[in-house]
Amino acid sequence: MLGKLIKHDFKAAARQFIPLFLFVILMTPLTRFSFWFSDFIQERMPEYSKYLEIIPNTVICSYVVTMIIFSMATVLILATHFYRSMVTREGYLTHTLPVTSMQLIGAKTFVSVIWTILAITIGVLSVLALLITMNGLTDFGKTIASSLKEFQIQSISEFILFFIELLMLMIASIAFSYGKIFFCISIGQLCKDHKLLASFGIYFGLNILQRFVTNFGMVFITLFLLDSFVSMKAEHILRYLVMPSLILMYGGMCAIFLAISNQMFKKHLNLQ
Amino acid sequence: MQLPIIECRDLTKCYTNGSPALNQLTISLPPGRIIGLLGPNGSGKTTLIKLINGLIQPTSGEILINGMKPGADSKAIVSYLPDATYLNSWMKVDDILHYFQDFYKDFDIHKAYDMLKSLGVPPTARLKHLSKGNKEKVQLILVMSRNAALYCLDEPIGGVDPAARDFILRTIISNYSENATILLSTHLIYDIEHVLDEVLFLQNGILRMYNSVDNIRQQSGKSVDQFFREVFRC
Repeated sequence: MLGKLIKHDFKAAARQFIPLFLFVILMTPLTRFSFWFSDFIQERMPEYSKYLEIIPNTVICSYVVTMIIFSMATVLILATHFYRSMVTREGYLTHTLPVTSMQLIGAKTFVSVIWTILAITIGVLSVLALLITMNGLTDFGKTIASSLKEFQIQSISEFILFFIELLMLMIASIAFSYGKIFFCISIGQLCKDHKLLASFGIYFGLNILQRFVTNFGMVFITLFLLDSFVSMKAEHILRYLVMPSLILMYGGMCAIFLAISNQMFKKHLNLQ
Repeated sequence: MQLPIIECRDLTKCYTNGSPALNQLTISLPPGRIIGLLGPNGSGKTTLIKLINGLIQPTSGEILINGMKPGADSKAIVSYLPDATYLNSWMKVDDILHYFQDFYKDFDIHKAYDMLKSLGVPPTARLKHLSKGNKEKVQLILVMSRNAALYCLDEPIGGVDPAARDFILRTIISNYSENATILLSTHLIYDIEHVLDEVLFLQNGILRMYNSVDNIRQQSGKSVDQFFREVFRC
């Protein structure tokens, strides 16, 4: 059943993501051409650059706006899909399926993580395709290699382990973000009226609390634990302490959020 | 001995305004009947149907469907038609048929296609392009194409024209499996009386009467519709 839920949730989100991805992909060569065109105008027709530059500048600005909207739209599409399918009229279909709430929430979290990773991949590839020249590609490779040396990564197996750690951190942080959103929606649905407003309110409150806890944690570490880290190298602290701690923290918090959301939908579902 | 298809024990549901939508309802409904869930507006009919389907939770008491609490297992044997459209409007009729086929083992997709054909609804049509009446009929076809143990139909003939009402009632009667139970809530008693085996009267969340249609007619000398008007006179 979980596989079927994932399949249908994936298809439901695809109808919004595919056109969005295609638009970003189309904007990329257009924008790159605009860069080239801008250089061409300045070299060959400087007397007309004041007028002709409007076209490439408009395209470049449109690209920047597209990327900003793209990053926001990814989260918005997935949060809206969860809200609609779990709390609105569509919830009559979702909650009468012969599946458990945990399966519903688990499928939506998994699909959200996958689509977000795909969106990040498309975004990064678009920016790279836009900015990197052939010389730049070689320099980029050299920069990556020297950065890996800083992290004491000198073999393929170490690189693979480091890559897996980075991937786990990315997945855990994305899952945590959506776990937080779903948690807020699951609590907000308890209200009779203004469920969406309640969900937003809880989300903002949670963000403020998160910032407070993070700042408190940083102060605590600085005041009481900094001496313990003085003897360690920065790259070791990052790789062997910070990254695993963040993975555990994000993963743990995501599990707590999803468990509470599950209880809310299982015991306190309110499709009035 | 067969388990009752629906069993309520002191079932109570209060909403946020405090007044009980259902008040200590205790009832045991046997399987294999067509049961009319009748009562004026606000009597608790929709609340009871939502509790059966696990869409809301009881304030106190218990409800069992074929001996099970509402959950994934009970939802596999209950086919539910809400009182409004709830399908994703961007989906095609084909998509929603395959969606039901994926999740419900008892869904007969060939029966669904046959009913759609008789209705003249193309499977490739998007739900948002269908009229309200046709959307409701598609929903009904989805529900009645399942070989469920319990069909919960919330106001299936409310807000439709008389010809559509006849179609809906014919669809219900000709497509449910004989061992199944249909729980049908409506105000339009006159139109459905002839198909009902038993009736359940609710008023202000309290069970006023549970009896067979034949008994009501014999004892009162009136039709169920006339009896209802007398019991619930304003």
